[in-house]
Amino acid sequence: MTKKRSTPAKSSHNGSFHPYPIQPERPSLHLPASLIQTLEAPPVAAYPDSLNVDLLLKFKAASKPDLKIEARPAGEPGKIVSRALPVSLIALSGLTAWLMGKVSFQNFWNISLGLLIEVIPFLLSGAILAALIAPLRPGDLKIWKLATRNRANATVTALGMGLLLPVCECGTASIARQANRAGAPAGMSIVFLLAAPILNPVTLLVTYLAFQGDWLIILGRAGLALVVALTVGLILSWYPRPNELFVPAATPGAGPDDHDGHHHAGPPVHDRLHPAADSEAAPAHRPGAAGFNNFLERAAREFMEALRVVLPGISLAAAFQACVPSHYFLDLGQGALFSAVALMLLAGLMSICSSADAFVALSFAGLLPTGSILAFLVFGPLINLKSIFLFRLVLTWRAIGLLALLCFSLVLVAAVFFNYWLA
Amino acid sequence: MLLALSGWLEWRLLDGTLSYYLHPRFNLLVALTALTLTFLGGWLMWRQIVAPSRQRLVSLSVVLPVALVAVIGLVVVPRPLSNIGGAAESKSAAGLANGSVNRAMSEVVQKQDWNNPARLDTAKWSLLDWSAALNNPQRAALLVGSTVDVTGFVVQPANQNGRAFLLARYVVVCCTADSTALRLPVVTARNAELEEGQWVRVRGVVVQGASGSPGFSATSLEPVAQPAQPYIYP
Repeated sequence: MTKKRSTPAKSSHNGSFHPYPIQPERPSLHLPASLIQTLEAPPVAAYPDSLNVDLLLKFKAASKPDLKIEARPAGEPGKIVSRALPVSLIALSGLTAWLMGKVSFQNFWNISLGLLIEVIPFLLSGAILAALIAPLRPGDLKIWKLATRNRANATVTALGMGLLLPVCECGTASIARQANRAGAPAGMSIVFLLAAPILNPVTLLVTYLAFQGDWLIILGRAGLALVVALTVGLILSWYPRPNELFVPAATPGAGPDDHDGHHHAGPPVHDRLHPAADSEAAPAHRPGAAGFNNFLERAAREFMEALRVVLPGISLAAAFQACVPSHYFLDLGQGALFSAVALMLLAGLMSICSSADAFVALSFAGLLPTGSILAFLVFGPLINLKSIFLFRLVLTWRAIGLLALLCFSLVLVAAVFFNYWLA
Repeated sequence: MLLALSGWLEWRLLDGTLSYYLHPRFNLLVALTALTLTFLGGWLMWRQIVAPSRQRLVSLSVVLPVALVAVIGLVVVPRPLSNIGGAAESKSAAGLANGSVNRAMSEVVQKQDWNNPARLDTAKWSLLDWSAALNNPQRAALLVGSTVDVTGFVVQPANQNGRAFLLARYVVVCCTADSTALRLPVVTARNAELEEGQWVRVRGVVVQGASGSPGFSATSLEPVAQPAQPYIYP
């Protein structure tokens, strides 16, 4: 394992398109001795979130085999904010509902628990799929090399994964993170993250059943999702510093314990830095009972992490549901443009699972233009209070903001176009 | 934590209160999830007993929120959506929904034979059927005098005149996040006896109010226990 890591340039990407180019300003194999000392005792803030432990591994293996490099936690202020934000959002949601009165507070609990029970099966299935993928070492597979050779292949592969895997947005983040760890190009992960919630067979089937063969809606939803996923994926694949888009836990070679958006000092990272411990730290490829045990551990870990990150989104969505009547949005949203904006905001705030939102969208049929209904069906599964927090398993806040902005713009333009075209 | 989570799901499944949160069509999925979590948690616990390891599976920052979910799930007494929350405050005076049940209502209407209203078995209609039927003035006119036998909870309107209350019930398409409250006015002389949120069975006939809006005139009001499935699942 360590030997493999000591050849960074060939890591898991063969071909012209390297999704995670090593940044020139980051430490490399040719760093001067002064910088080696800096690495040993830096100010905490000198380590940004995106600092890849693998880079240190490569550096250590190539130049200073005896050097002990411990992964350092992120700066204290950043750490406090990143830990306090989810707790604050949950508390704020509960407090808002409480201030709105007893009924709203009871309904807040009910809707929170309802959403939780609804997402748990999908989070678990995503975690199990991610745990199944993890020991496959896709980087060694010919088909994976072919799939990640260039943007076109990567995009087609991501779409194929989205079409085949029966997971909604709750399960995609864990899989995308695992694919990323295996060296998936940036565009591939993003296309999968955006395409899978809508293009998966369950969602398409439910849309078909809900709209009873209304092909304009069914194909419109699939087609628009495809266009948005491809466009956003391609735009972000040209992002000049793609590794800034992803949290360290989702970068190639990151370990399963590199969660929380930071690399923690501790056994897994430590083991990766100390070859002697590799046999303990990376038993993922062991056959038999040990392999099975690893699979279960991975699944449990992925599941618990996904559940943790989705909690703020769920509580915000529940507070919205319990405190704000949805008709306010619908009353405001009239006309080709405002109806689309209103339904997109409603979809984002309601955070209804993509495998069920078609039934809700049905209620708007006849009341609001078709383009706006499509906007609800496409934007909702891509960007909602739940998914935004789930994206944190893979993406940085900057990337999530960019993603939301691009998705909003593209879906809005398409919805308004549909509204005028079909009027 | 995983065992506690699965325990919560299994408990809600077994005591029937899962339907307070989710459409019953998800019961099988939740049961499978609970079993998987039980297996996962059980296996990991067994491994820890057989071969104790000091290495943490996940950090405390991950365990604590999951533990919080499990504890809240186990401790919070399951309650269906309360009578009228913010999400339900929206509807028009007659309580005719414009939320996530419009399609369900139109399907309900389409199932009936409107060419021969006298043959409609209205005594078996739920609040969803009635809301759908009375949504249209022509249909409402046809139904005046029809027999009513529906169950719902009491909502006292803000501008009550003491003679009418709203009979309400939630419709849930998927989970309570998409719930919509249906409400229809009931005229009764016993309104003062009724408490907010109380479940009642109303027997009576359809009447047309002075303003032209349809409603029920109760001939019998029977307080009943909350149904096992408090929502209507279209």
